Amino acid sequence: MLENHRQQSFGQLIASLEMRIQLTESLMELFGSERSVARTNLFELRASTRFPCHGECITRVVDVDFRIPGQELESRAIVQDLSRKGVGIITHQQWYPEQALELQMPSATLSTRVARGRKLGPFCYEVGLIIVAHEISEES
Amino acid sequence: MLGIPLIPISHLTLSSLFPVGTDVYLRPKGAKEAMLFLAADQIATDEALELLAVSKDIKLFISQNESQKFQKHLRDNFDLWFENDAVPAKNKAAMLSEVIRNVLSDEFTRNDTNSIVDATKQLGVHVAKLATEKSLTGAELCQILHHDYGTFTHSGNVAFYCSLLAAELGYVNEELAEIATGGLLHDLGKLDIDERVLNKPGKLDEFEFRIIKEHPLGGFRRLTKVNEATQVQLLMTYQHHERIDGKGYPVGIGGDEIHIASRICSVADVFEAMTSNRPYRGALSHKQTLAIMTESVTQAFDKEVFECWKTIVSSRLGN
Repeated sequence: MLENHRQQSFGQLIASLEMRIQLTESLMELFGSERSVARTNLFELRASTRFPCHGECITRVVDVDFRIPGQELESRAIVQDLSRKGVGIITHQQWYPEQALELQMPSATLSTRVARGRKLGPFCYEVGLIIVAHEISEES
Repeated sequence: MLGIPLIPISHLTLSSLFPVGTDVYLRPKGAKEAMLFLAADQIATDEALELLAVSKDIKLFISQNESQKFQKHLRDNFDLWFENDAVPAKNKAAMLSEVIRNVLSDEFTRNDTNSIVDATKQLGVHVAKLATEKSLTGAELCQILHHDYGTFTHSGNVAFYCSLLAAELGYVNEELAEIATGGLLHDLGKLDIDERVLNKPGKLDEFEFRIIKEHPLGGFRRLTKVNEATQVQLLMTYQHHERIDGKGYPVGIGGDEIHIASRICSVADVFEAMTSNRPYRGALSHKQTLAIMTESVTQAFDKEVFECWKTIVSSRLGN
């Protein structure tokens, strides 16, 4: 029951935020297709295997650094993949390395730190986050 | 021969105000041996300095073993020299260029980002001041700057070029000093890269190039932890390899998304790199460099910034 309540509040909260991401064609194709696990390779700096996923989350800035331009305190994002140590999201805005973000998902809240970001198109950024701590809903 | 390894110094770093603190040697053109010109505790006379200024055939040296001592002397006397109106701007620039190399070398070796930012902030103020000094011509400045493409030399030169460019674009005082400091810090992330990759004489392979491409990210990470670092300096460090067409790195942003100070730094950085001696090629002339940069101006650089730089080079720095 608690989990239902949690899911419902998450749904209401995320619906109150505007989805501003403009997915690129390749991302639309990617999300529409069956994706396999992305393994690490020689050129990858990631240590763990990434598991593809496609869900929404809410990003919240934890510590505002006024030197970093244009930070929306709360916004909507798409979760692209997850690994033991990190999470990849798609956002409409640029995030900068070392920024601390809280990621709220339907059944978990992650404390993260931005590792890197890459622009894929207008209002479309791929952001790699390092998981610093997590809290998982007990009923999930 | 004296039997000790010597390194060249600029005559502009000598002063009639105080002794150098190390023995200075002199070698006229064609001579096989250097001879003692000034003992460590001697002060150069104005006549001797004037003679050195007009003679292109006399080179000055210090013992390689006393290089640290010489650099310390420059640093200790720098403020005294810099605030003295009787010292020509050309001499101040020469001394500042030496001090920058020395300070950056020391601070980068110590690898304490707080201390690096603190030291470069002071130097940035001096660089900005000299860049707007009317009695110092661009051509003189170019003669003074070293062109050996070490990270420290490169950063110092980029700081001077950024200041010239920013001043021409209308930036003044604190903003100009902030940009100059950003120029000194822009390659901070190279501290995290193995010197064998940084100084590789041949072409970089894909893996090495990926490592090199990490330096804006590494520099930004270091600077975010330092409260003293400003937004301008953070973004110059992070964005100086972004391109106006969005095909740069690390993010791939383009146009106005790139901070103006980063667009200035990008032009200064490429120009400096191309006009310096590299392990695998000699320095290109200003004319050759501008011609190559012009070919990619619409893709790589902010057109207005680049046009402004072209004007500065053509009218003030020479070919």
